[in-house]
Amino acid sequence: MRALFIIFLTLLGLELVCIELNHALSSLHLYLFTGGLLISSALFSLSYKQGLVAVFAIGLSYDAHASIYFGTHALLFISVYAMLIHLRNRLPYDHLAGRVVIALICNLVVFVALTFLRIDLVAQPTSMWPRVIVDIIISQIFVSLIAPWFFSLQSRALELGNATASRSNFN
Amino acid sequence: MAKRFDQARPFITLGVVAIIWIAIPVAVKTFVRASFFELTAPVPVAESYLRDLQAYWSLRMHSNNDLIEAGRDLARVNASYSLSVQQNSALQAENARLEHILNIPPRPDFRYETARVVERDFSAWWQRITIRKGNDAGITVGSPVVWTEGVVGRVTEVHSYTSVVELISSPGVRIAGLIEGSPQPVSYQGGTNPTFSRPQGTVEFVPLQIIAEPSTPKRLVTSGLGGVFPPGLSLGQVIRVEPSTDGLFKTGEVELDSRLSELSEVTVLVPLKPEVLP
Repeated sequence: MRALFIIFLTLLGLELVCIELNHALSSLHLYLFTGGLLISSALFSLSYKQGLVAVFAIGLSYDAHASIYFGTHALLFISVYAMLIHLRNRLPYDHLAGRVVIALICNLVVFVALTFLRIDLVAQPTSMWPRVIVDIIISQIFVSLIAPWFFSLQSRALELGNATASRSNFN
Repeated sequence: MAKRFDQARPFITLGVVAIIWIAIPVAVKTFVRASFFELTAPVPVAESYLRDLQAYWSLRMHSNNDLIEAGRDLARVNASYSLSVQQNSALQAENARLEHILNIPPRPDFRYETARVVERDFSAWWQRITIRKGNDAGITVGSPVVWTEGVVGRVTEVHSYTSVVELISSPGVRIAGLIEGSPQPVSYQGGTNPTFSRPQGTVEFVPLQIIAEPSTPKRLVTSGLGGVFPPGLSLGQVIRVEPSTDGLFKTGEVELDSRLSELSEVTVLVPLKPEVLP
């Protein structure tokens, strides 16, 4: 339970950092999205049930800051999380590079899924894609840069809180 | 069998969670949404106060000569505004007289509530800002929000000391407007926000006689229809119109003010009788 609380706090911290960065980037019409990193980091640090709770809760927090049906992010996040659990034996999560790649793929999937959920609101949907592609590129660069630091931060936070990661059995 | 169940377990859990979530009453979801928003709200609010403090100390660095120059410029602007206020009063009186003669129902009156911007969220999916006033200032959902250059958007969420404003550039926003020189109302919709360039919107049901080019844009203002926005507030410039597929109307592109994504202060028009807002 303590591990769940600590990991949730780190996820919330990263979400708040992104909110501030997006505020600063708004004048350039750029947007950073790190949802995939949050999902994958919960997978690497928590048991299956705890990870599910953490991912669902952080999804709800994202929903609270979005103009979208409440629960969309949360359900999308746990869908990706369920897929990761399903593929757990085939994922290279023991190496840092593998973890970063998983985070990047998760981020891309969630970003594209959210775009498809919102694109019908735009009168000319094709005009949205250049902006979406730029946002995906900068988000992926950002995630690849901060992912190693964020994984390290989480493991250090667990150490400080005398909690242990229990991702190995996924139970 | 057990292995197969173990493989399917994440998806069974996902299905169960999704069904439970859909079945949860809206009131519970609203409460959870507000709780999550209020949980994180103090951080951006504290950060916005820090930004204000930083701006204050940077202004303190200005020399007395700069202040004298700024004061002189301000006095000139004030003089021109005083004249406008006098003209405005005369026009308002004339308008009221004509409305009385024609038996037109009164338009909603507003109270002006100025608020600092706490947080700007400009994704491709939605554009919204969070302002530093909420229930504490009597702000209501649906209130129009304006700034010096025209319409900003509409309040969509009100929390205890913050409110969320959906901007007119957001794809989900629709407003009835009027193109300068035409009495026929048109439908404005928020559009895309291309990177490094101005936010854009689209306009539909434009009369065929309207012609707009990037070199000769037409001003788009609020029509006052629907009763949310007062008439005559600027939305943007119609820079291009083309015949729509049905041939009955034209559709066009609207260029919005580039400073919409840099706002630091806005004014909320709080209706004095909230029940008049749709």
